[in-house]
Amino acid sequence: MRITFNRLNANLSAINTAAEQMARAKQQVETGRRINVPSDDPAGTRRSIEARAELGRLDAYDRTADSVNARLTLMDTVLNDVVDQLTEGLTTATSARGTAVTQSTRDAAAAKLEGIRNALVSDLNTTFRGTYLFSGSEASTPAYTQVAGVWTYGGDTTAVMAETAPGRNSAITRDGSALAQGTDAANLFTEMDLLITAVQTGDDAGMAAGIQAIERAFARATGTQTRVGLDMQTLDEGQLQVQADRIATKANLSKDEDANMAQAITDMTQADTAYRAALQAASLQKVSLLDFLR
Amino acid sequence: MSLFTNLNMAARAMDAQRFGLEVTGNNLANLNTPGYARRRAVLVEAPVALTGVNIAGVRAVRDALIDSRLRRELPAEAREAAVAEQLAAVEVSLGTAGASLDARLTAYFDAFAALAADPTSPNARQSVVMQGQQLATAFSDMSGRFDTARRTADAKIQGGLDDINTLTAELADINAAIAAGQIDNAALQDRQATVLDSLSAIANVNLIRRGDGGVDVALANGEALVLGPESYTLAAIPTGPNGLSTIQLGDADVTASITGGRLGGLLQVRDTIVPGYQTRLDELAYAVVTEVNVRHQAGFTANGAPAGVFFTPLGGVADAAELMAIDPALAADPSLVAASGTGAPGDNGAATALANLRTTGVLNGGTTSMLDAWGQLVYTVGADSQMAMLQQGTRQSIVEQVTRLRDSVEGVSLDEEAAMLIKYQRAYEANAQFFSVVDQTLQTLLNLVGGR
Repeated sequence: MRITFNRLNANLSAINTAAEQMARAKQQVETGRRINVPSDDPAGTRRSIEARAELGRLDAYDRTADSVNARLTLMDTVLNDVVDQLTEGLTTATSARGTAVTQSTRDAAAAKLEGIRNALVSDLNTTFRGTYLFSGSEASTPAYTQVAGVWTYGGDTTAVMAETAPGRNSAITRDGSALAQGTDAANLFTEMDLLITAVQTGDDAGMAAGIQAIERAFARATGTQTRVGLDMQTLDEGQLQVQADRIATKANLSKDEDANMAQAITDMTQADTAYRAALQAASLQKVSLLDFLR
Repeated sequence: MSLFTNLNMAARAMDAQRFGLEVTGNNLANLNTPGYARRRAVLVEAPVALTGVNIAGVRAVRDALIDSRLRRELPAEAREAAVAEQLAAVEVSLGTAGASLDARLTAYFDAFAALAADPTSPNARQSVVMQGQQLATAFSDMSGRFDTARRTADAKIQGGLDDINTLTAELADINAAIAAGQIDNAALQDRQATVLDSLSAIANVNLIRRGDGGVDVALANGEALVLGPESYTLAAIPTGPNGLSTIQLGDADVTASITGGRLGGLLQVRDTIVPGYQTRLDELAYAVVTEVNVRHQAGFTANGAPAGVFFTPLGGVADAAELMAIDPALAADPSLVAASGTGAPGDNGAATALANLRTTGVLNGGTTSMLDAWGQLVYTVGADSQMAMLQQGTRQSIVEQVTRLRDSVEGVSLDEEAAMLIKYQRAYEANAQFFSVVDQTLQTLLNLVGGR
């Protein structure tokens, strides 16, 4: 093959190729990213979009879990108070029984029971950022109010659930009637009103019935407390699972997106060498027979 | 044979060697002239015996086979280069993973997840509306970027047509000059070769050699661009609702004839590749709008009323991404966002269903989620761009090989020219020496005659 003057053009294209390779390697080192445009690795880009979508889903679980956790903590506090109030109610009602108890003592006990009833009503009507926690899905209606002198449940029996981790749900509102009434014929507040009257009048049978009603309510309250505790445990476990998933997903994402620095720097050094070699090769072309004919 | 004839022979021989030097000089002078084929001085033995050398002329060293091979490769290389260049711009406009439409989709479903966790929160509703607006904007922006890519290609097509028209006019001029029998035919051929190379890189054209060395040019389907001394101009005529140009030759639409060269690549990007992406984006946008609306309409507003649509309903897939927008009434009043699935204000059935849409298969017969569909679109663009770059690389190396081959035949070699310089110089010296010998002989003869 004859080697002609135009051979210099071929050198130019070799220099271009080497410069291009160096620019690419340099970009990886500078940005720390393996993929800067989808064509750098189309399949990797797709995996990275999938991984980021997964991370987004996990983050959403995390935020939901945080929000639900705040509600559950409040529910737990409220239920603690309910249990305390019911214990206090039992003590007060029991102290009002017996023949040695004077009317004034009974009146005092009745007044105290009234206070306890009001505290319990206020507990069940607790709101979290404007939402009634014990009205089921009727979150804008108080759980218990007196309608025409009768204690009435304003909510429904649906406990609203939120997914806090894949496949794990926690209740963000509860059925207040399950707590205040359960399978009883009347709700706790009606029973307490009857108890207060029985205490005032010294009706021992009435007091006994009232005390039993409070005891059943106590059992329901501790039962609910246990369920809230279980929900919190589920939530914690779920968060751990989400965190583990996130670490795994992030590791995968990093594999696809982040430049392997050692590799990138080696590539850059190699590209630099190739570039210098191409430049050197071009400068060698200058010699020809003409140079020897002087 | 007289001594005078010998003198004459020596003089013509010196002239011939000088001519050889001249041709060598001309080769060296044109080292960097594009399209220049090296010249050789053609010397022939004089027809009458022992009368020396004649200058037969100068010949350009060309290889028609390699020339035509190169012109077959150039359109393919230029086409892939144009596709690669355009797609590089398109793929940049897609944005990086986690900072594009995927992030907007994720944020939108996040907002519904937050609403599901706190269904009565006005802030969560407001955030759903805001993210919905941003999602719709992201879709129409993306569609706009695809549109821009098509318009950029269109503008370049118009520029390419101007180039073609200039080149065909020049070819027609060259044809006319060749037909008129201009003296330096080889120079015209050089110029013709350069113009044909440039033309082949812009569009795939058929070349028909004329008997006199001129060339006629036609498009792939036979529409003539150059016929002898006449050239016919191509025009870009904006047509259709999108205002993109068709290529017209006179009254005929010849767009379909151009499939190669830079123009072929640009047309493919403008009319096939990018519209394909646009359709997939539209399908995704349409799926988002319809699937969200179905689930939204199954829910209830904050006030317990049956909810309406979330996005303004679309007539069909066409232009879905561009037209995507949230319902104006809902935008003005976030309480119209559906969270409840039962009508009870604390219920989160609708918000949960909408948040779960994130992973639900809604495209391709229910097998592909929205985020997957976006991932597939990005993959396709990336793979297309990568493929175009690889193809261009392959084609470019073929073009380089053939060019090198052509250079090896037609190009000027410094070593060779140096050798020629010496060869003609020495030959000149030898003939001058011969001249001097004949002259001396003649002198001797004259002295003999004079001395008598």
